[in-house]
Amino acid sequence: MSSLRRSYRQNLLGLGIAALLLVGVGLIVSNSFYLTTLIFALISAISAIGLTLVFGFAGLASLGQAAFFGIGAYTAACLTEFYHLPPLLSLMCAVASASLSAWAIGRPLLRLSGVYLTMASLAFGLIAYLTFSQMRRITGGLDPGFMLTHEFSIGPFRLGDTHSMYWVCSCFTIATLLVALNLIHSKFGRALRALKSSAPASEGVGISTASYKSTVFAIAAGMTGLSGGLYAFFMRSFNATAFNFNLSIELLVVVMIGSLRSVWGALFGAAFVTLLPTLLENLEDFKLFVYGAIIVAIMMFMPDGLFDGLLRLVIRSPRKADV
Amino acid sequence: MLAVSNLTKRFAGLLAVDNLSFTVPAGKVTALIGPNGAGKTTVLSMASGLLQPSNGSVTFDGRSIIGSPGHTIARLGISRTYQNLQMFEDMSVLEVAMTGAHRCGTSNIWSTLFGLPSIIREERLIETAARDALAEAGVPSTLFGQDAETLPYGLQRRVELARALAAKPRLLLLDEPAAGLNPVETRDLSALLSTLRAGGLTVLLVEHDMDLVMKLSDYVVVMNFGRAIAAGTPRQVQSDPQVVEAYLGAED
Repeated sequence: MSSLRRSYRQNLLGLGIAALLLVGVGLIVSNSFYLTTLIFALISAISAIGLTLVFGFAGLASLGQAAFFGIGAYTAACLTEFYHLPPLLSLMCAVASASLSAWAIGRPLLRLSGVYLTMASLAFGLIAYLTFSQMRRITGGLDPGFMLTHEFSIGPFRLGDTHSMYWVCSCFTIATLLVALNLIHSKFGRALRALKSSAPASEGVGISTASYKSTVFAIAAGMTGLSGGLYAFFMRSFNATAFNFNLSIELLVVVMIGSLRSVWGALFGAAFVTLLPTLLENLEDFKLFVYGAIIVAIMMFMPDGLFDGLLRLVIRSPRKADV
Repeated sequence: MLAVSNLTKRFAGLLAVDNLSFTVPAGKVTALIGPNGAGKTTVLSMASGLLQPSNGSVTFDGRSIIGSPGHTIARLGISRTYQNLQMFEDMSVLEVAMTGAHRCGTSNIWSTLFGLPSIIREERLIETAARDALAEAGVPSTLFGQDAETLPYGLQRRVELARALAAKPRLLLLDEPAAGLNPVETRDLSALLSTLRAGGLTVLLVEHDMDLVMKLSDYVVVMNFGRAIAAGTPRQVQSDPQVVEAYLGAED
């Protein structure tokens, strides 16, 4: 078996272990506060997996992911609330609508590069936020916000309670990881890494950089839309503030803390960014200070992110092309 | 196979390529030589879709490739290497060559997302093409797993050549393949290119190393200030007074 095929198998093994860990945690933890925190971590991880593909692999720094999160959330919520679509179907529509809107704005947006692309995506995120908060008849704006009276369900199974939502989010996280791993271990993944380092050379081997960029942008937006939809079904009552600029920043931090070179980093980054503030709760006034200091320390001592840093501690091998 | 006619490229006030015409016959090595700044790389860039000409045409197998984006031209079967290395970062040697074989894959995004069995077959096909190309370019198989960027310069140039060969090109554009190589590496390169030539590959070579050019080429086109000043067999151009003047300066 070739080394690349073996690396893919190892990743699938990792996926199996991750699934077992999620099951273990789900069986042990029953406190609804901790479950809620874990659900937020999973939701954030799903978005971050998408952003890792866009930012880490293709090198496109997007500060507009909150827009796709919001589009996903409102699509899922509206279709279920107003059109009484089954929640699972609404969730799939959330993925599709976020993906399609990314595809539509991707072509013009992705003509830009570097800091210009980042600024343009930031502007898109702000416009989307303003739209969410002003279209009050549909979204409820900032006040009162959206009230979703239906709970999540699949067929006859009602899954609205916190424990069930944990299982639902876990399943979608594993599925998203699987899709991302499939992408990375294919000519698609190689094309993304290629266009990140040299656009002319990528074109020179037959890679249409424009269409690969917009495709990965749309796929990532679909993942972000999925997490937005899950957020809507978990919260049931939310307002547009949830989709402001802070969310885009937080997702970028998750990816940078986790890893830019591996989708596994998204899990570590999301766990870190979501769980750490909770663990530091006792420090009260010093909470933000310690939180910031830890982030700076990670960036200094593990510049490739938590995942690569921890991996190196475990196997003590020099930096290698691990994906 | 490749026909360039009346090709002109203007950069603001500078006339980089001026009404240039020549053809690259199939199965032969054609060299494009000339002093620095003569416009050789600009011609390669227009033939590979990186630059659009101001005027004139480039046809490949009778089909105009002007206005086609780089990836379309690449899929027609034109591969190239670069004067300054354009290596892919964070990739093993094998992966770089596999990226070169990109056009061998036909899968769409959906089968990739769901990891269908066709992807496994395609990956195997691409990997075989990449391994063959690396062997052809003389990259030792012990290096296949290494990060391509950490290799010495001469080997990186070989990996780049393998990347171009992995696409199974019908026309190979080489932009100063011997630049920066030491004499031993240049000799190895020359042997390698002879083998490729014997295999029937069509090559358009831009190069400053005259020994290499004279030994490998079937035809030579000499450029100066964007114009072709001579064309013919290596022996013909060597004795052309205009060529001697361009390279050595005129005798008073």
